[in-house]
Amino acid sequence: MRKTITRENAGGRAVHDVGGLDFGAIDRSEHDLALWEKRVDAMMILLYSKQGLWTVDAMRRTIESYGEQAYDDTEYYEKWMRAMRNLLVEQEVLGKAEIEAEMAEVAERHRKAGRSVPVHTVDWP
Amino acid sequence: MMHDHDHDHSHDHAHDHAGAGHAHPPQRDHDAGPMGVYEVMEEAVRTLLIEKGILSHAEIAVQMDLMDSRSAALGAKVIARAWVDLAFKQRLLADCRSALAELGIDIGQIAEFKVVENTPATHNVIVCTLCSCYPKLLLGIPPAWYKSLAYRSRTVVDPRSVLAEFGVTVAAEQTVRVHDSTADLRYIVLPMRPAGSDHMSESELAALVTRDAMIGTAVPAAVRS
Amino acid sequence: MSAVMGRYKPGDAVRVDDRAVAGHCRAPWYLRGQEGVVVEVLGNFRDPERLAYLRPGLPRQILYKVRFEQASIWPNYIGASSDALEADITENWLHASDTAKRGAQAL
Repeated sequence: MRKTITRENAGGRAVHDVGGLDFGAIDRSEHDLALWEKRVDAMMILLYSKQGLWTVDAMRRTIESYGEQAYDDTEYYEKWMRAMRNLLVEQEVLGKAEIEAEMAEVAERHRKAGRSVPVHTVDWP
Repeated sequence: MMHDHDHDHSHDHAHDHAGAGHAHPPQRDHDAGPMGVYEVMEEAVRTLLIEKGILSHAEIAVQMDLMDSRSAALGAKVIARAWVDLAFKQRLLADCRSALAELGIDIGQIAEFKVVENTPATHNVIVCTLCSCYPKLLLGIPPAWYKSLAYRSRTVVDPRSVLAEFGVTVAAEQTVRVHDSTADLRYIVLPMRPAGSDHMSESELAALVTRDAMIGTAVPAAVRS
Repeated sequence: MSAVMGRYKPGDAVRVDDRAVAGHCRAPWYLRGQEGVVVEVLGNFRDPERLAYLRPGLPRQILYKVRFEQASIWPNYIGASSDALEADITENWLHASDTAKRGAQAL
């Protein structure tokens, strides 16, 4: 995957800049969004319209900084969620430590309720 | 490869066996299935934002309802109007914002919209290679494939084979025009009005316009009398 | 929208700059260094490269819809010779093309 087309000059190709690369067949199956994905969409819009937290390009810039593996291996709303987290910290609305603490609490609560919850977290930024 | 679907696979199968009559697989079961780390993050960030009074449960719910209310039906209504009203079509192609306002559609301030017209000579298709720009307001939430790395990367370099995978054959003498949404414009394709639809009303015509026809990965089927 | 006057007008041959960029940028890699023709002046937009860092996005950039011949972008392109790709490129990424050979042919 990510078979590159070569060309002299043209500068560097960033992780999100995929036009002309080869990622194989298009999977055309469709599914409705999960509830948490809809919440991410809604919160992101509200943080834009109410708080002026981000611009479309600031969100893109955040997503573009994840690195190739994280970029390729995450779904759309996972990218959005990480961008929201990073922008909230960057804009000093929330702190890193309180987010990490709250995530640990949320994970523990669901684990106790019998759900399988991953132990790993998500790198910063 | 982007794993847009992995989390839903087991549920797809369960759903198929149950034989329920729904177009798409259902949402994940939030009380039982494994929880992803981003789902944990969403709940944590939401909890903190609500605690601090930055957002409220109520406004998140209202925004989710608003998004759920948006679908390709709105885009289809616009296309059907353009099919029956030539003057409207010209205004739509020239100044999308004002033309949509005539139909009571406010596109807001995040982006502009632009309509590109299919003709017997030219077939248009929309992609966003840099992210997943999409006219959500008119088409609703984009399908997973539109956001996939495979579609984003290949549509610009090999559009005819991508279109063929979607069942759209473009004749050798026709032009394929790909629109890469690289800036502040959101594109929507104005498909050709299908043959055999002369007798149809505007609302009947709207029912012929699919989401994919407005992305350019489908064409409205000819109407059989 | 076409009331905006920029350096280029419809029919002008242009070349996309091929500079390397460190930060956010909306000129796709596969079009850098490519030559095309302006088909429309889309308007005057805040600069995405500055908006990305939550700056006001000034000075604004004039945005052009530029048409490229597919066969000139991709060496092994399969399709009609008239097949085209259009992308929206800001003025700070465009140069007047010295080889104006394509001219307004694609228009």
